[in-house]
Amino acid sequence: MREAARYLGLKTVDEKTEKLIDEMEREADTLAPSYVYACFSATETEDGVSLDGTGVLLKGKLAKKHFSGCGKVIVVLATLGLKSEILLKRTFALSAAKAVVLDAVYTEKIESYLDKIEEKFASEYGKITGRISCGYGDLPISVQKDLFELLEGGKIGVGMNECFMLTPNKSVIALIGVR
Amino acid sequence: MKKSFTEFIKGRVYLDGGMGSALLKMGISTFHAELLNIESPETVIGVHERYFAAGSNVVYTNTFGCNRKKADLSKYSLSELIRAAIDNAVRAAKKYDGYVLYDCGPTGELLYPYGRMSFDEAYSIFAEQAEAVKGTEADGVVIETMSDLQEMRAAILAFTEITGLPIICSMTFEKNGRTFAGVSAESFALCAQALGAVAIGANCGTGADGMQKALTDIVANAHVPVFAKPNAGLPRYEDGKTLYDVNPDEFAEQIKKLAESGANMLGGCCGTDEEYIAKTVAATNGMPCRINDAYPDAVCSYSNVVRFGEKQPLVIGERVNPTNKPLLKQAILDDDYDYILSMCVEQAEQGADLLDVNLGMPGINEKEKLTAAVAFIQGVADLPLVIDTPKKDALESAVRVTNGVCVINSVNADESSAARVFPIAKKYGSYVVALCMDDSGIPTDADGRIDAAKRILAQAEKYGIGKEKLIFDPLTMAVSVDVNNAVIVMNTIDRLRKELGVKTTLGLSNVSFGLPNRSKINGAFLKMLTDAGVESVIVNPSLKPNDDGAAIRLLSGKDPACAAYIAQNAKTEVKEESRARDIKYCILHGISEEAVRAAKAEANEDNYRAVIDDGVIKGLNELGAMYEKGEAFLPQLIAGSEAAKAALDYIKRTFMKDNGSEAKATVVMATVKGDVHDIGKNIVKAVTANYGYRIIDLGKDVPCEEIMRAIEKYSPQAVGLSALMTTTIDNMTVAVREIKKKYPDLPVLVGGAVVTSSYAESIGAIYSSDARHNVKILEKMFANR
Repeated sequence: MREAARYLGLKTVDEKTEKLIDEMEREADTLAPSYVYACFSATETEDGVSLDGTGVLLKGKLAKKHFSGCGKVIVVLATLGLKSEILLKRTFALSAAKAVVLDAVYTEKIESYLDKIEEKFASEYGKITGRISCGYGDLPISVQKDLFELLEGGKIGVGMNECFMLTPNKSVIALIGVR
Repeated sequence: MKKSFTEFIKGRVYLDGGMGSALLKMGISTFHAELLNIESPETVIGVHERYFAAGSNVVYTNTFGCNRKKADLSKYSLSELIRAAIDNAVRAAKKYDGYVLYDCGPTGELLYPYGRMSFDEAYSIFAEQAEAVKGTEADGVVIETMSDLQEMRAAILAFTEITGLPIICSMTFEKNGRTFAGVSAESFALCAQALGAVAIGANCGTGADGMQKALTDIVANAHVPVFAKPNAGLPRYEDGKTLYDVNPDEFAEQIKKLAESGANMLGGCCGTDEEYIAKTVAATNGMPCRINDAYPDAVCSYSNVVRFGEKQPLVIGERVNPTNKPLLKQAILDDDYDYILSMCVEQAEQGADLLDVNLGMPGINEKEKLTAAVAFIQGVADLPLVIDTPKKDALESAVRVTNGVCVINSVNADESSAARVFPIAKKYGSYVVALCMDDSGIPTDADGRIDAAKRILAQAEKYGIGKEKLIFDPLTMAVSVDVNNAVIVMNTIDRLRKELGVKTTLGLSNVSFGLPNRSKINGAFLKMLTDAGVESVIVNPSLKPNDDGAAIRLLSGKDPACAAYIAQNAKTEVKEESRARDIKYCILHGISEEAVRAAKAEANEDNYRAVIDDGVIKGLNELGAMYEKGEAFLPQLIAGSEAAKAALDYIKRTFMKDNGSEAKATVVMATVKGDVHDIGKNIVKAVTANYGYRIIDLGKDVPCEEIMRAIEKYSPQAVGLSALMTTTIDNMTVAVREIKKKYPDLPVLVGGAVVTSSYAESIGAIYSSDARHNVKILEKMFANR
């Protein structure tokens, strides 16, 4: 079954839904996702993993475990861009049914975009870990603010509010270790 | 004597290079670089002097982040930092006879509708800087590195209104000629010039090569000097550092191409220093400069330019006008801007080029509502707007927030009308629809209307507005009143175009008033107007032109008393084709268009309530039951409820007349403060509204106070709140507590990814697991009311 259908929570996909997903995928193809990243030397500390020279600590057991043996950590911010928000609102104005499918298509799109970025890192940096994000396990969501500032997310049109939520909604800050 | 800045920039001009990169090169951190203005003025003066020595004529002050959102104001006030920065630059400039521009960068926050910052808040941030700049020796202001056109507009207005200094501005574009917020270089150019910028350009970004498309688009739409201030190539990140790969020689070669494309003023941004400027001067000095004289004849939204004459006629969508539209009236009363937005998006899909926005109805604060509606719809509907109101305060307030170059509807030949409209049109560079009438009414013949048009032209000239900014509407009266009415219009249009050389438009549907099959007459009139070369029409964009013989005879004044047309059309009032499927079927299968057709076929004056109960309600209930059993899924549930709503809307419109507001209950809905994920709430809203509830949607990221205000204003029977994240659920707890304190009996429904039934119970709220469940809870409370 298609990923977008899975995000929609569907158990089966009828022909009509199939067509709707196709149509929304074509809409989503007009988006131009973008990303910024930076690679930092990392040091394991007592309470987590610190990104050298930045004062940023990835606190908790998850970070320690996930990045154990990693000399470097890549921080990447990927976004579907502001147009994704506008397109979703526009679609909602015409049909909420289409909009909910488009939202699922977006989720699939940002995840597969991150997969591609990971592949690129793998070819550049060699052996890398899978990606994690703030809010996973005991890695505090508040660290997202430090990472956002390190990457100057505003430069690619991403904003963050006081609850550490990103705008556009379909934006992700991910952490990947380099072994 | 030194030329004024505005005069000086008409020739070849060299701007400076990056301030930050020059500091970094000296090993100085750029973190809060604004402090250097006071703590190390000699450093800043040194950078300015090196740029002047390398050939710059103009430098930007070291104030890029000098606003209350970004600057470190713990030791010095904003005004102290700004004045010190200007003093530093002026000291360097005096030695070299150069010019100083106060440098204003973006606030760093996203503006509504992307972010939370309002236009007024952005304005106040820029106004604070402008107050400090006022009365200093700065020669002008540069607003740069902008991505959001609305933010740039707020900055231009603040600096113009407060300092009166000349303003130049530039945005940061990607290779495709758009900013990351989707602003096109063309829209930027039109909009900045409409607000009076004396030079426009591009800066930062992906280097000189990456700027080519944006720059070409700006030059093509400019009648003021154009400037380019690119980065030293595409930034690259290595070990947490930003690196630029283009060296000074390569940079000079690349920027030469921008000069050839029409950039008269050249400089550098991130990654450049005085060597880049020296090489740029050497490579381009003596190259010819050019400035276009022609003013581009176009209006725009933030991303979309519509040129007069490019398509003929341009279609101005007329549907957002509450006259005879009870559902729109209710939406305006409820601040339901989503409803207005869907009318706009539908018209855009049907081929509208511009959208008329008219919210005029008695008993409302039109200024507030029109301004809010414009701010809400313009980011999504993305077409240039026509602001349609006779009220001066509403007009100015709405035009001020219109993100682009708009049209004002309308002015007439009366002096008081001119005094109301033209100063606003002049200030914001708007176009104006000019009605060929005065306060005594519409002249009966073409001569009278041409005379009114001439008086409008004379008035416009007094206010410094050229005729290219006016679009004349000769006004049509119904042919059922006088068969010559359409002929008079056609004559007037011909004379307006030939004798006065002006653009024309027509709100044409009034021509068929009182006659059967109105769309047939309107379509034929549209065809005649198109053939006559009218530049635009104000219509329902779904109207198709036709060449119906009887209608054309009627419109040509050859059908006395409309007798022949009526004889032919009275009995053939177009009936919808017979129904293929019933309403229930359409709801279960989620086909909205057919649901309306079915409603048209099934419902009449006598049985419409039964059709609602047996068709719409039963269909919805059956679909709901299927959803609960897992036989129907979310998209089907939504599509079905949309079909039900479409059928219901038709029935309300047709049989219940001014009773469109009859709702089972009013529900105030919001996503709590801090939370920007609203798709879930929007789905719940869509489905719940389709079941016949009146929803007051406050949007996302809604502070508690706003929820309390809405409860007071709308007296809802229930409130629905959503939160998606663990970081925002506390705000839900607070909101429910506040609501319960003041309204202990008001049911509060809560939902969202992190909300559980036990959490809901613990805060005294009702847990709503999804859209269907939400409706079920409400139906239990209110279905029989």
